[in-house]
Amino acid sequence: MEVMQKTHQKRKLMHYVQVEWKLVVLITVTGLVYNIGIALFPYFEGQLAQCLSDILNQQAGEKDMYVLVMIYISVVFIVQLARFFKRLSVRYMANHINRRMKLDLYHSLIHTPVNLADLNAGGLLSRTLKDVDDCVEGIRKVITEIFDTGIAMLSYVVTLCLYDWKLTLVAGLFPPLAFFFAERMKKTVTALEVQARKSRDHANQLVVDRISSFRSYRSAGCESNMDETVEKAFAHMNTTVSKAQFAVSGIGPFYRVICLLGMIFVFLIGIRRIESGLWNIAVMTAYISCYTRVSLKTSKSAALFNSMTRSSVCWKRIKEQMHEIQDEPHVPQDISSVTCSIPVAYYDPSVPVLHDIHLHFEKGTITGITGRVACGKTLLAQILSGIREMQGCVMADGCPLSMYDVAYCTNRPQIFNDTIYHNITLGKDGDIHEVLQDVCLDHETDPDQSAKEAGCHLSIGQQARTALARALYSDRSVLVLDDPFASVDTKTEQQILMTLKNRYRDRVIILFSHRLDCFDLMDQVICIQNGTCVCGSHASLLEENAEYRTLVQLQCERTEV
Amino acid sequence: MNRKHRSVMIQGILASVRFHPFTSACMILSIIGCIVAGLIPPLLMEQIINRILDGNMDVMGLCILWICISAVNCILEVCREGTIIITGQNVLYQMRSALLKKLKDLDTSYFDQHAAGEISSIIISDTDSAGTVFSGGIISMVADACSLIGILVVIYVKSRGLFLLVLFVLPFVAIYTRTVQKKMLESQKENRQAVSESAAILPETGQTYETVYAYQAQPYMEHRFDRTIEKGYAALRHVSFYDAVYSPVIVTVSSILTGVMMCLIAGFTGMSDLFGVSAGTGVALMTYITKIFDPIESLGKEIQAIQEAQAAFSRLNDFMALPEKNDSDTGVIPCTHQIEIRHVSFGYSAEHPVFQDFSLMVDAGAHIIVTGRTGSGKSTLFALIQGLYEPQAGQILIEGRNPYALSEIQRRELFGVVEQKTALIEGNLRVQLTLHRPDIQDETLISALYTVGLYDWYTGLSDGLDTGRDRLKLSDGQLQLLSIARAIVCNPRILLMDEMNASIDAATEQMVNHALQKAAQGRTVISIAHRRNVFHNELVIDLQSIAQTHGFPYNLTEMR
Repeated sequence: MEVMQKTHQKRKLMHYVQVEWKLVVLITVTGLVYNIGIALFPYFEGQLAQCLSDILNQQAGEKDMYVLVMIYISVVFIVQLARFFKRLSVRYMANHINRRMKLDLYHSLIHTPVNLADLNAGGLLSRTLKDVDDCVEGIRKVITEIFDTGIAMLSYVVTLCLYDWKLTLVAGLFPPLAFFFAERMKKTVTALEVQARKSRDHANQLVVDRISSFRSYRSAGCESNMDETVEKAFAHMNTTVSKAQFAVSGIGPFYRVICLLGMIFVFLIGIRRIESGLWNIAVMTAYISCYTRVSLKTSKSAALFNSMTRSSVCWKRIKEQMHEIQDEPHVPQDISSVTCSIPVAYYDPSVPVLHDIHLHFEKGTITGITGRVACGKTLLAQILSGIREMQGCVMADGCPLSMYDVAYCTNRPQIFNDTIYHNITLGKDGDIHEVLQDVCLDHETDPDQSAKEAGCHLSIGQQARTALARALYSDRSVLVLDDPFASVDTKTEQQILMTLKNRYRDRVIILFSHRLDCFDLMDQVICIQNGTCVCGSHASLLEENAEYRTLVQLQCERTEV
Repeated sequence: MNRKHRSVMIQGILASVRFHPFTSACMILSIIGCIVAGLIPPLLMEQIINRILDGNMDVMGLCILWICISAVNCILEVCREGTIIITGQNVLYQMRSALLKKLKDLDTSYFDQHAAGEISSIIISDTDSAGTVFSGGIISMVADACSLIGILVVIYVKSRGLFLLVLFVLPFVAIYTRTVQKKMLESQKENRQAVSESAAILPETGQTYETVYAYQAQPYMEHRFDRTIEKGYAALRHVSFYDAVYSPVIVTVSSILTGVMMCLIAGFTGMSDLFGVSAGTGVALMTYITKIFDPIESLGKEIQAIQEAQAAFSRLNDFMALPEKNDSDTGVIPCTHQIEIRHVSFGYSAEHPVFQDFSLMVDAGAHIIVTGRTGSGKSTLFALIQGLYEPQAGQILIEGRNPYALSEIQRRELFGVVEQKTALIEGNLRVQLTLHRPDIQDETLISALYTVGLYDWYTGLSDGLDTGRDRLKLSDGQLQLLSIARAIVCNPRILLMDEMNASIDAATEQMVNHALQKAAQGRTVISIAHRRNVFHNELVIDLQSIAQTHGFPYNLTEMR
């Protein structure tokens, strides 16, 4: 199923309905057939009664009844068939709209610039998806009600008028009266529902509190007292929920009583008509049957406008999450050098972490960057990869470096619940064998095996190497690798580094690491110290820089132990 | 002690009937009334039509009766719905109440082994599911079954022939109904399964956001999302089909039944004994036929609801069947020391004993510090002294009593506990301090606040003790002070101060230590760890070194 719109266009609820125009037509046709045909039922009931009476009075023969029954059953069949298709189409349409909306929402959210990802993306999305369910359910109910209540009522009323419009004028006052009362009740119903929900939430909160703080209560010897408080909340919930439920579902039959008052007139005038010969049993039975159905419908009709308001509330929330998307896939550039000039770098403006950063990286070289814990390595990695914007600039061949030219391996590898193949290719199919060899994963794992949630079927080392493979597989010229050799032994680390040196000469590789054993293989080494960077080669820094020397020494001690 | 228990729902129902006899009686009466009042109008209509056909126009009386009984029927329906709702909620209330009462009888180990969310959901959601069954299920089932039987009886009386016809058709309709409902249920379960799978993508999206964005892997993620949604919709299509097909088929069958009945009556006028009809009866019978199928559909739904609630039911019953604390040992034994721990062995599990043959005597008024590495048993010692757990061997006596079996009042007067992790509970400031303990004057609360150094903060609150929880902005240090105040509010004789983990700066630490000093005056104090510099005359008991240097069994007696 295609995402509905790739270009930016304001979302309108009607668009979703319009796309399903074929189903809309089907619904309209079958809906009309059903809801108009439904008015024929009382007519046939009347006819059957009349026919029976005629037969018993020897005014007609069995054959008349057989014919009548045949016609009756055929009509019923056609009408119910239409009903089936209508119900099916409405549900199918609702399902389609639901699916489209969810895809559009997901599409929109997932294209939001990364800085907005500080919001809890997962939580926001699941709440909005629930809104989609509610909204579409409301749409479905509204469409159903338009036909089942709106058009059906119209058919019944027309039928009643056809039989006797004068009577209908009088008796027909009562169903609207009942409807009017139902409308007036709606405010009370909503208020009661709100109260019930509050009361329920409060009681539930107290229960959770009682259980999660149980030690406090038990130690303080006041469990019974807390229980009393909770019981009071339960009792209150009992009352409010009962009231709300009653108001919603219990009151319905009451409105039928109002319509029954109208039946007085129906009987009065009906009998007079029969006496005068204008009506026969058929008409009387039909009229009464029709009127009863109208009054039944009335008692259920208050539900109609509830669905509409609920839907529109949900839709408002959904619309907020639908953003305009500029979807332009980036063409990878060939980059020969990267320079970085940052005066000040920070997570929080009041707490600067790094300052006066001036770095230069060449194509075909590997740079190793290190420093003590919490010196700002990850911050620098984020800046270099373009994930985090900072004052100053990161340039590639004189132009600003686009984040889409950088393959960034995060500190903690991010693995998808999918096969290793997909984790590496991310939808761009191709041959991954070389890349697996390069990261020394080819013998350990099978590309088609699933990594499962957050990669839990892979060891941490395997996860890190998968993420590295992903970076290598992408065509990007700059590789920023944040500690990719976690849980990988030194021998494998050396092997991979040699492969990177030899086979990836067309890339700019920047490696952040704590493990300094292999830093002698680096073309350039940068040490972050007191918020600044000191650059050089492994040998030169070892000689000139005390900090770097200490770090290397510590590393050796650790490796010895 | 395991009390014999009956199903928690049955208990709830009985309790509800006992406490609300009037409502229960009304409910039964209105159900019966509805059934009866529902059966009468077609019979009246029959009379009316027959009279008219016979040329007797004096039917107004019958018409008025028809209207009245229909109106009474409506009112009884309202009554029935109302009483069923009220009774259903009453049963829910009784059930929740029983579950709540069970909590304080459960041993502390239950709460250790089960997450708070899991336990709360038993009281909150499982009761909801079970309660729905009651009102939407059992009662309605009985009402619908009686309805159905009533209609069948009337049909039998009016027309043996139709009765036979209906009896013939009924089983097929019943089977059809149950089949459709079962298939719908299966498909709904499949859909729910797929929905939860697609929901799993959402947190994953949140966690892998940087990668997705940086690698422009959005199409990949969208494709995966779409695939999971599609699985759900395949199931949903089935649900839609069964949902759409059920009612039209039923209505068609009902009409065919009417048609066949009419044909039989017309064709076999000799059989009018069997079908025994006048035109009026024909109309009445038509009405009854339409009435038969509704109860069948409802019965199917109710059976389904009962089946679906099985899981919830068994969880509720399992909960009520949990073994209760054996806290019957309430005698007093004369002792020389306020706290006597005699040869106690205890472990949370059999394989890992925390204490083995451990003894400790503490006199009233002593200040003791307990140190040791994580896992050496500091917090466990506190828990044992408080009586949260019972030792597997040996005896603990607090002022001569077994702490496990203390009454709540005794516990309040004896222990004040400053916990490891202080949490605000639901409620205003007063409740935060009293923890719902009754009969505590406001003056006592304010003086406790003064003792711990929160008085100035308190006077700054515009609502004072009534300040709501969301308006209480407390720093970590202030929270610790609050928990000390909480502990001393009932003037306990023994103060137990667990290791407070929040990392606070030196100034706040001084505040807290000062508060502890003042709080500790005149009480026996046992505290954990770093507060060495707080107390004078303190004795230090190092559980770690006890274990390391002396091994078990070890007998340590420290006196003031």
